[in-house]
Order: sequence, then C-alpha cells, then structure tokens
Amino acid sequence: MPTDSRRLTGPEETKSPYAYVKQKKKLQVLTGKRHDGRSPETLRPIFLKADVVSQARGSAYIEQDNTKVMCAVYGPREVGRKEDFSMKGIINCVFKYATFSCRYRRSYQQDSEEKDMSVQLLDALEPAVCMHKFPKAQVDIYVTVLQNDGSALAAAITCASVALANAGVDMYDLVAGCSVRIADNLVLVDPTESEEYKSQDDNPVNHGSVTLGYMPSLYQVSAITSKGEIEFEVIKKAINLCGNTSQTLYPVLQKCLNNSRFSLSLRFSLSLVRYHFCVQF
Amino acid sequence: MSAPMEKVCVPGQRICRHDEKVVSGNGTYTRSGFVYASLAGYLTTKSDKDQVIIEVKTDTELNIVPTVDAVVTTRVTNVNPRFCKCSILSVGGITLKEPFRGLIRKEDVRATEKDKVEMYKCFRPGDIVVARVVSFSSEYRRHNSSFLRKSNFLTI
Amino acid sequence: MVDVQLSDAEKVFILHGVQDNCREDGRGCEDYRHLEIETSVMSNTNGSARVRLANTDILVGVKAELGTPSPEKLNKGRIEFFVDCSANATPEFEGRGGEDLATDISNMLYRAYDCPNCFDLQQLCVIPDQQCWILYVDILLLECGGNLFDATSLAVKAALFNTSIPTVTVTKDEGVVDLEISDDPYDVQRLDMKSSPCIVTLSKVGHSHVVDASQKEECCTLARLIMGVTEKGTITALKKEGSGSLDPTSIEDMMETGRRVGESLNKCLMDALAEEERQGTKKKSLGFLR
Repeated sequence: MPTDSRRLTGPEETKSPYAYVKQKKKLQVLTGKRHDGRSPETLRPIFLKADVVSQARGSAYIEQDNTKVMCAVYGPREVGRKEDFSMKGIINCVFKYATFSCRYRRSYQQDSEEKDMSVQLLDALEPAVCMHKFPKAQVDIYVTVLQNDGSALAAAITCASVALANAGVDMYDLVAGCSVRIADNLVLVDPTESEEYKSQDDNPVNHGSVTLGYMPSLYQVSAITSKGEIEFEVIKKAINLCGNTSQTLYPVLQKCLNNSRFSLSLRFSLSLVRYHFCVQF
Repeated sequence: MSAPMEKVCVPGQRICRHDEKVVSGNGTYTRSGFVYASLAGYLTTKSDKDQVIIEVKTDTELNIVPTVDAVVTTRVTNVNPRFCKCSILSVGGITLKEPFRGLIRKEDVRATEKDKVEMYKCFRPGDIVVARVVSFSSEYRRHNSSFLRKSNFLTI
Repeated sequence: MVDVQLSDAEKVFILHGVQDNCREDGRGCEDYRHLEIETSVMSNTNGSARVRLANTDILVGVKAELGTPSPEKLNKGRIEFFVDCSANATPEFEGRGGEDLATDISNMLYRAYDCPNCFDLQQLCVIPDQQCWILYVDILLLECGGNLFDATSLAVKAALFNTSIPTVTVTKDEGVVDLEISDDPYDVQRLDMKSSPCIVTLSKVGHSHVVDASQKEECCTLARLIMGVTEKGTITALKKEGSGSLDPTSIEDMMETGRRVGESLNKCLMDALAEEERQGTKKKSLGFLR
C-alpha cells in the first residue's frame, strides 16, 4: 500500500457504528456446539489455488470458508536497500489487511498489528526456505487479506508457502498454518471471527488463542504465537492439536501444487476445482 | 486431465534413500540419509556412469541468480573513468525477469596494460557486454570482469 | 539484536559448554546474570525504574495522563508502550536503525499485558465512558548486552509498581462533572502489579536451551522462544522468533523451563521491590553514579 508522508491528514472524527452496538449475548461456542455446525476439531473447508497472479513469480489464493487471503511472491531479485554483506538471501514479508476486510475499517497504511503479523509470517517461512540458494538477492512476499473471518494469519502462512513453491524458490518443506481458540476446557480448531479471542471481553484465565506454523515433512514447528492468559498444560495440548491438524493439511497443499503443474503443462484453461476438506478425529 | 509420464513432487517430499549410487541434483537436497525435493515440479532421473542423478524440473524458467564465475550478459548504463555500471540482463542463457546491478572496474577490462585503460574509449552507455562475475562486492553490486580469454567483450 | 562477530570455533565452544550446563561465564542454563533494579530514579515521572542486567541497561518512565477511553473498553483505562532504542546503545540504532527492534519489543509488551487478569485496567477508570487514566510507559534502551526482552519487562513491571497516580475526586454539580486532582504527594493510588507478567526468553543453543543469553550466545542461537509468564505460572503471550525451526518436544521443554524460571523471577522481583519500598527514605539511592 503506498504510504503518503507528504500529506497531512486532519484528525478523523468518524467512528465506527459497531462501537455503539450493544454486545450480543456471548459465545454459545462455550457449549461445544459451534454456530456453523462444526465439531471442535473440524477445520473449515479449504479452497486453495496456485498461480493466480500472472505478473508475479508465484502466487496463491486460499479461502477458508469466509476468510480469503491472497499472496504474491516476487523474486529472487536484487536487494533493495544497502544491506550488510551476506551470502544468504533475504526474505521480506508484507502482511496487510485490505481496508474493507474486517468489521472495523482498517487504515490503508500498515499499523502495528499488521507489522507484528508480518514479522510472525517471516519467522514462519524463513526456516523452510533454502536461503543459501539466492545469495545477495531478496524474495518479496506480499500477503493481502481480502476478507477476515478468523484465522487470517494461519491462512496467510499456508497461502504464502504455496506461493513460494509456485514461484520455484527452493524450499526444505512446505509450511501449513493452523490456529486454535482456547475457551476454558474447550479447544476450537480454526475459529471464525466471532469465535476468536478478543482481549476486550472480560475473560478469565484459560481464554486465548494459539497459531502454529508447521512443516509436515520435517515434523518441525516453524512459528508459534499465543494471545491471552493460558495455563501451561492447556497450551501444550493446543500445540499438539495444531501440529496434528497441520499434518492433515499437507495432502491439500500437495494436490494444489500438483494441479497447478498439470494445467500449465497441458495448456488447459485454468479451471477452478473446489476441495472440500473436513477432518474428523 | 491425463497423468504425466513423470512423477510430480512438492517441496519436502521424500524421494529415496541417499547412498553412493544416488546423487542429489538440482531441486533436491539430502537430509538424514534421504533425498528430499526442494522444488515443486517433475522428478527426473539421469544416469551418469554408475550414478543416478535425481533432479526436479519445473515448467517455468529456473530461478537464476548471478553467482561467482557465472557468465552474464549485461548492458552498460553508466561510464566513469574508474569503472562502469551495468545492468545484468541474463545469466548463462536464461533471461532475468528483473535486472541485477553490476560493476566493471578499470582493472578488469583487459588482461594486459591494465593501467592504460580508458573507460570512455572501451564502453559507451547502451553497449552489450558479455562478462564473467568475479566477486560479490561489499556494496550492492557485483563485480564483473569483461575480459574472457577467447572472446572479448561485444559492443553492439 | 546487535551482532557480535564470532568464529566457528567459538560457536562450537559455546555449544559444547551449554550441552554440559556450563556456560561461558560459569552460569548454569537457567541462571540469570547479575541483576540490579532501582525505582524512583526520575523526578518528573509518576513512576520510574532502572534495570541493569550485566551489560544491558534499561530506563523506564511512566507518565499518567487523563484522557478518553477507547470505544470498545469504556470503563477501562489504557496503557501505551513506547520503546526507544537510543543511539547510545550502539551506532546501529542511529536514526531509524533501531525501529524494527523497538516495534518487536513494544508489540510483545502489548500482547503480554493485554490480558484482563494480569493488569486490571479498571483501576485506571475515573468516570466510566468519559474519562480514564492513560499510562504512557516509555522505555529507553541505554545499552544492549543481550536479552533485551527480559530486562525490559522487568523494568516495566518495576516502574509500574513504583507508579503513583494522584487520587481524583469526582463531584457532580447539577449535571456538570468536576474533577479534582489531589495535591498531596501521599494521597496517591498505587497499581496492583501482583499478577502482571514477566517476559522470559529461551534461546535454543545446539540441542539444549538457555535462559538470559549473553550477546555471544545470541549469535549461536537460530531460534528463540519468548514467553510472558505470570506468578501463577500461566502464559500470557508466546512467540517464536528466529530463522530456525523447533521440534515440538523441544518447544515443550523450553516452555516448561520458561514457566519455572518465570515463576521464580516474578517472585524474586516482587520481593526485591517490596524490600526497597520498605526501606523508604532510608534506602541508598545509586542513581546514575557509580
């Protein structure tokens, strides 16, 4: 998003009307029955497609029910600014919510939450990329969340790793992202926006969320973040659950990349295939 | 869609066990005694004497980055009495999507009489030069040497 | 983080040492370096603290101002963190060099303090829906000697413990609300910092992990786990940082160590602060002079 440092914008007096809406009765999710009918361990159906942006080196688009994330990868190209001499390549991640993507309108410039997410995304992808294969060059990864209905970071991690593979960047392994919401004794996989943890709700202990970036082939965790006050045992359980769920995502990623190869080589017009992927334990 | 003749793989997919007969080629890496794929593409095997080289080939052109000792084709953008700046257009035979920046120093223009080189007489902005990458410089450029033993630089 | 140049041999030396639970300076893997904390070092603030953890020097000042609460949390105050990497620490921080590091630290602090149980923002409310106290916590990095996250969180907790907000009396006169702020330096409101978290950084060196990594050890780490731990052992924030990946079992081990260390760190800090408080005017003030 272009930043405009020359313009002095006046203070915005506008406020979102949602701030004045009375809070609805909270969280029927706590009873274990989710509002979209899923069980606590079920992921939402995933639609994943690679090679969607023709100008980019590699790209991918993921839809997890209503969460829509797009990623484009450019590079390896020359390092932008004067960096310290290093024989390893550099990865630059930019994570951005589109201004219309969330309930409250977001700024067109990256705010601190998006910068934090960019760093987390970078931490998730760096262990998977063979940095020594592109010395003194940089790979730019641009992630845009078109619609946020929960688990945006997890979807972004999955999307970005597919885009990197599509770009032909050497990788040790793909990265699958998964997030869980912890509510007392309940652990909900892939929370929607209404299920996600928000600090403004007066939540007692053991309410929070955990997002994990997992490399399925190498059985390694590449990123982990958590929010909210959670007890040690509960968070351990959540991490294990995330790991297992990410493992089940691997075939989806494989199929998506294989399909993008087929359509390229056979010169067929790109057709959209929907994968319904539901996991039951 | 009919299945291709070769096997398709994704990064991180385990291919086979790594031993003396198996060599991991382009697009693969070895880890804990196994060969894994590092690119998304078609798996190909080549036999070379006793050894089998496993490679992963992609449909799109390879992601190539100028490395030391690569032969590159450049276009001169700026000429200076000490060096000339150039823009690297292709590495080997593969055209780059986005150009990299390079530097040809006065000392690297020819093998003999290095101090008597006059840059303005050797290069003009817009010339196409075939050069070999000598090193990565500490700045954001790469040093190129424009003298190749058999064929010298081309001026178009 | 500031980088120190290390040769491969030195890295191997550190790695082997950590494996045998003997670090470069003789510490064990779960020991902190020499730590000094002093509060009330600055007169113009509502609360301040200075932490010196071996070479790392952090100065925190807390200022309280009256303002309007955010629309989502109308009966709660606000706390804002700002980290300034001063060029004093290292020439790399000159200009905008330290911005990335500063954003990382302040984001982690925001996340760690974002839990309603750790830091009760309701104690900062003056008039619900209209006025509240906003605490501006400004952190200044004077010197970088490794382990910035831990030292910063200790300094922040100490400064907030030390913060005294003047008592406000609200009078309603025919619909007009009047705020009266007490002049008395002893008529103050203190903050309840008992359950607020401390950040513990666990660095993975080779196959084992260490707490409170020095700069040299930070060079040898590929992955770090940064967690906010409260006195009760609950985890308020968790973040993995670094370009290396971690095994799920090593994450569990690191978290276990972090929880253990975090609990005792919190307890020691509160004991030390209580002791300093008890000494009152009789305490020897060191300030910036040695």
